[in-house]
Order: sequence, then C-alpha cells, then structure tokens
Amino acid sequence: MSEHSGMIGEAAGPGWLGHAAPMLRAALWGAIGFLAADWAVAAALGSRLGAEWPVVTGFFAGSTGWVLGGGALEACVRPWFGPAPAWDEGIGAGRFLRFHSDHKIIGIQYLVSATVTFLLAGLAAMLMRLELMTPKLDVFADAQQYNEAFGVHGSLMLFAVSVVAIVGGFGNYFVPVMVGADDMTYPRLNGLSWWFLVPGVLAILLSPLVGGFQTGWTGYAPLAAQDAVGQDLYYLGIFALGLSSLFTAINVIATTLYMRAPGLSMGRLPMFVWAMLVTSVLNLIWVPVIGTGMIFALADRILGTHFFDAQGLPLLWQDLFWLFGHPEVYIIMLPAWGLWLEIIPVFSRKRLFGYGWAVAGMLGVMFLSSYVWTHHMFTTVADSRLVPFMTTTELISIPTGFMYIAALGTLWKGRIRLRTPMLYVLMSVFNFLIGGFTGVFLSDVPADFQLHNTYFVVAHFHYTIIGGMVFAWLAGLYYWFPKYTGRLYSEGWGKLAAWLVFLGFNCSFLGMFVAGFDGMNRRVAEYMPYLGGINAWISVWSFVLGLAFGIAILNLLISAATGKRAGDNPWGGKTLEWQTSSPPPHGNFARPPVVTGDFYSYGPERGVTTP
Amino acid sequence: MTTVQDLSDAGRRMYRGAFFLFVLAEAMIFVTLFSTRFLLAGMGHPAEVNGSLGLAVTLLLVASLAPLFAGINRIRAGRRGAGMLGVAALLGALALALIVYDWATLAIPVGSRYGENYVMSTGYHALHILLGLTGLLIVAGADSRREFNAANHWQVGAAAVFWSFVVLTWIALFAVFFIF
Repeated sequence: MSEHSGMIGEAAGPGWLGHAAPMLRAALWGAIGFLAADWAVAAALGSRLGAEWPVVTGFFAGSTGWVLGGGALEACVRPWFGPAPAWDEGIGAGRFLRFHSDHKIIGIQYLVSATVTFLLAGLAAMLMRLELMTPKLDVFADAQQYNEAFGVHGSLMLFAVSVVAIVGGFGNYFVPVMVGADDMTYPRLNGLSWWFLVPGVLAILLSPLVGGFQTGWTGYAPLAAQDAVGQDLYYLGIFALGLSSLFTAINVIATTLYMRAPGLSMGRLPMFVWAMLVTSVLNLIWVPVIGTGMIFALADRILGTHFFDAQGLPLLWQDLFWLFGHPEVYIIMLPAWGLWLEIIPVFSRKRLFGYGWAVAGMLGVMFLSSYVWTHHMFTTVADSRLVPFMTTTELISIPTGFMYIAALGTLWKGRIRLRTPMLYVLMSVFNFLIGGFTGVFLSDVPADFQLHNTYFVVAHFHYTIIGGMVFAWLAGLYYWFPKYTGRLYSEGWGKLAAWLVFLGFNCSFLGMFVAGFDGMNRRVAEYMPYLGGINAWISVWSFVLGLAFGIAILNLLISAATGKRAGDNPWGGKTLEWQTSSPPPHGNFARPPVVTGDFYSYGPERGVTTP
Repeated sequence: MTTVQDLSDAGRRMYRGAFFLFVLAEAMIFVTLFSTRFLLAGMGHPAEVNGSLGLAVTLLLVASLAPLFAGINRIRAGRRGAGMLGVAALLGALALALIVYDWATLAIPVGSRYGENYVMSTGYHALHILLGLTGLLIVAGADSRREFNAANHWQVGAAAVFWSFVVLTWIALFAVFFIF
C-alpha cells in the first residue's frame, strides 16, 4: 500500500501475522472470556455449560474480551486513567484487522461483515428453499430445525444486514466525505461500533448450538419464554447489534449537523446524507426501546419476572418489538431512497427533480413511520386500534410517493446511461413499487385478516427489503466501487449479474404472492401437496437468485484486485466524494473543500463545487 | 482525554450538541421503563415500598448537583474542580449504596406486577448511577492531573450533563414508583 511514510521505522511490512495480530488477540481474548465465564458460572451453579446463566455471562465476558482485545483497551480505556492513547493504527491491510478510528476503514469493515453475513444468512435461505422443494420434510431432521434456520436467516438479514449494510457501510464511509469533513464527530466511538457488531452476529449465528430459537426474527412471547437457551442469544445478539447502530446514529447526526464544509447549507445537502440523517434519528429514538424490550424478555427467562410470558402481557412484547420494528422498515428503506436519488441524476445527466419535495418526503416518512407499528398486529389487538393504524399506514404511501416523483421526474427526458449502478437503481425502483403496493393491500384491515401469516406477507416484505434495499445496496456497491477501491469493475459481468439477480428475484418472489393467495402459510416446513408446484418453481428460481448474488459479489472481489485504475471521478459526479482522490486520503481532502453551488446541477453549467 | 487540544467555539458546540443525542437515546430507555410500569401494574403502589429510603436517595442525588455545578464553575474559571466533583461522586455513591441496601431488604415480592417493574427500573437506574459515577471520577482524575483549562473542558461538561440526567431521571422514577 502507499501509506509508507518516513515516520514508520520498519523498512519491511509487518507480514500477515503482524497485520492480523490485533484481531487474533481480540478473538483469543473473546474466546477466553467466553469460556472462562461460562465454565466458572456453570461450576458455581452446578449446571451444564450450555445452561442459561453460563451462556449469558459468557456472552458478556466474551464480547468485552473481543472489544478490548481489538485495541479498544489501548485506544479508549487506557486514556481514562491518565496515559496518552497508545494505539498503533497499522498500515496496509492491517488497518482493517484492528480497532481503527478512520471512518473509511470502519465503513469497509461494515461492508465486508455485512456481505459475509448476507451470504451466510442467504445460505440458510437456500437450505429452507431446498426443504420446501417438496411438501414433505426431507432436508431438516425435524420442523424445529427448520424454525431455527428461518430464525437465524431473518434475525441476521434484518438486524445485521439490511439495517447495517448501507447505514454502517456507506454511511460511515461517505457521510463525512460528502459533507466535506475530515472524519466523524467521535472517531473512537465510531471505531467501537463495528466491534459490537461481530459478537451480535456470532450470537445469533451460533444460537443453534444451544438449542436455537423457534420464534423467528420477531421473538414473540409467550413461545419465547419456553424456548431453548438459543433465545437468550437472540436477545443478547440483537442488543449488541443495537448498540452498534446507536453509536453510528449519534455520529452520523452530529457529523451532518456540525461538520459540514463552508457553503454546504442544509438546503444543499446531498440526498444520501439527508437519508442517513433521517435514518439515524429513527435509530436514535427507537433502538433504545427495543433494547430495553430485549432486557425485559431476558429477565423473564433468567430472573423469573413475568413481563411478557403467559402470566404477563404477551401483547406488550409485540408493541415494544414493532415500535422499533416498523421504523426499522424505514431505517432499511430511507438509505435506499437516498441512493436512488444520488445515482439517478448522475446517470441521467439531469438536475434532480423536486429536491425539496424529496427531502419533505423523507421527513414525512420519518414522522409517520413511528405511528404505524400496530399494522403488524391487526390480528391480535383490540378493534379500536385497527382503523387509526390502517389510516396512518395508508397515509405513509404519500410521502413515499414524493420519492417516486423525484426519481421519475429526474429520469424524464434525461440522457440515461445504463451502467450497472443505474441498472440496479431502476430495478430497485420497479421492485419497490410492487413491494409498496402490496403493502397498501396489507395495511387494509379486511385484506390483512385474510393474508396475515401467509406467503403473501413474505413476498411483500422481501420485495421491499431485497427488491428495494438490497438492489439499492448493490447499486451503491457498484456506484462507489471506483471510489473505495480506486479501480473499475467489470461492466459486462456486472450487467449480467444484475439481470440474473432481477430475474431470479422476481420469478421466485412473484411466485410467493401466488402461493400466499393459495393458502401457503409462512414458517412451515411441510405443506399441503397441492402447493407443491408453485413451491418447486419458487425454489428453483431462488437458487438462481443465490447464484446471481454470488456472481455480483465475486465480480466486485475480482475487480478490486485486477480492475483498471478508475481515476478520481469516472462518472462525472458533482458531490464532494468525487472531488477527492480514489480512495480518499486520511482526512479525506488535500485542502478543506468550499461549496459554492448545489450538487445536482447537471446539464447546462450552473453552480459548481470546488475542492 | 489526555490530549485535550484547543477547541474552537464550533468544536465545543459540536461536542456539547452531540452529547445531547446520547442523552436523548438514554431517555428513551426510561420512557419505555416508566410506561411499562403503568401498563402492567396500573396506578398505585404497595404499602411495603420503602418511601423514606426513596426520599433519602432523592435528597442525596439532588444535593450532589450543588458540588457538581460548583466544580464545573471552578474549572470554567480556570481553577481546579476535582475536589468538588469528588464530593458530588461521594454523594452519588451513598445514593447507590442505599439502592443496594433497598434491594437487599426488599419487602415487595419481585414476582408481582409492581415488584418486577420496580426492580427493573431501579436496577436500570442504578446502572446509570454507576456509569455517571465512572464519568465523574474519570474527569475528576483528569482534572487533578491538570488536563483541563478554562477553554477546554467539554469532557467535564459531558460528565456533568450525564450526571444531571441521572438525577432528573431519579426524580421522575421517585414520582413513578413512590408517589403514584
């Protein structure tokens, strides 16, 4: 790598062991912490190693060991007691394998871990589809194993991929660059945030080792109270992932409010930054609520309280869960809209249509998203709550429409370049239309009574989350690829993978709408034989989808190693990240940027930005 | 914390504003805790609640605000405030000890509707007292090593804001669990 300055004494690089030493130390301390606490508590209580208290204390000790071992001990804790921070942030590849305070390193850490988690949780989905190829149980040993598989799949995809990939990855990497700052407000807090992500992912991923959890990603009581020890790991894992999101949210809001370059007023803020700001406000307010809910539920299991179990109020869990869980849908989707509106003007060579309306739409979605959660509970709540929440849910499609108007108005009569990122964005616009419209069906109480817990719901939310967010994430991965790697990706493979993903996705999930109408229940490993045809069709196409995701990601990996040099601004973008080198240096800009115009004046020359 | 650079006014505003975001997130925890108490246990509290102990905790925590503000004012004026911050931390530690004593001698059954909420909320709050004390002791230690000056002491401000939040939250908790 190129950061060898004269200040670094060693002529030779540190070697792979030197590069990876902090992460190896973190893994070692984490393992020692987990095993020691697990064994000590099990011995003290005379219980099995896999019992509740040993596993819960093991998780706390292991996570602490992991976070401190990665470098937080020297970088964060040591300065509290007087000594100056003494932490070598490494060079080259080693920077990614240790505690690091540079937002770009952290962004890449998030992107890589989100991609790995996406592939692992996707593998669980492939196993589920293999099971559903035939009406009988033939892949998993029993239905409980199938439940564990969709629990792990859903929890990881929701809490560790879709709310993390764009927010943690692109948010960390690009928000400071796009507002012209040198880093986030609290760089070390930012460094910590990624280290909390890993224990969260591992807890959920490894929960089947202690019995898994049967409840799926929603963790509904009172089933959760009777579940195996894996349920505790679900609570703890989501709590850790929540901490990670919370730290990022604080940093993104503060950076956007306080660290903008001279001339960059809020009214000129790039759409992606607006989206991240609004998303972070939702995270900031609602993550603590579900975190507290997780602690309540954990207390029910290990302390003998009765908040949510059959003696308590199981419905309260649903309320607390969806109080975060519905804003979460917009925590997932707002960043995707930000990416749409960022990429479309660049590839249409046209001014963004209705900037103010798009911002108003984002703010409207932010406010309304906190008043719609009960639509997940239409079949369980009192009748008096049905109509109000049906109304708010249907209202939210209005500000969502503003995003569509801005996207379509920009495309209208633009000079469209159909490169891979633009292709993914247009696909995302198309898919989300289906996801959004079917959402209006489901917000309608009579329709929801009919469709609740069927594959129609499964198809609907996969259309919003894969169709909307994952397609936009892929668009972002390809759009900013030249910036964060400095290289160009292979356009041919990129487009081929895009079309395969689009085909595989739509063929499999459109099929799920049909299966849902035909009476296919969600979360079942076996089903009536008459549904065999449509399920086999869905499964075959979902394998195509899995393969296509593999090609799309493999193309990025190979191009990162062998692609041509991209230069600073291959797309002719006007936002600030394109006005610095690829990848940006430590501190992002050679000279502090000054913004003199708005970012979307493509076409006839008007305002310009000077780096 | 040891490398306190000279902050600009904008830098100070940023750290102060950003810290309030953290406090806002913390406040949402207590919003959840207190609303759960009313949802599950309704109004009213059992006669076994140790009201005089709750009042003593309240008085200790409110009293700790005086040395806290005295300490930060001294630092703001360029003098040492570590002693005063230490007094505030001492009062806070006494309050924490009282809560631990309360838990040890608890007459309310933990399994009851009111009891589980009482234990959950006071436990969560005790954790926040512990966090606040840690913050106060760290900045008091840093101040006794002369790391702050009249212009640069936002860490002291952050610890003070968090401690004030802890005190205000206890006042709300006192109302929710001991008065209603």
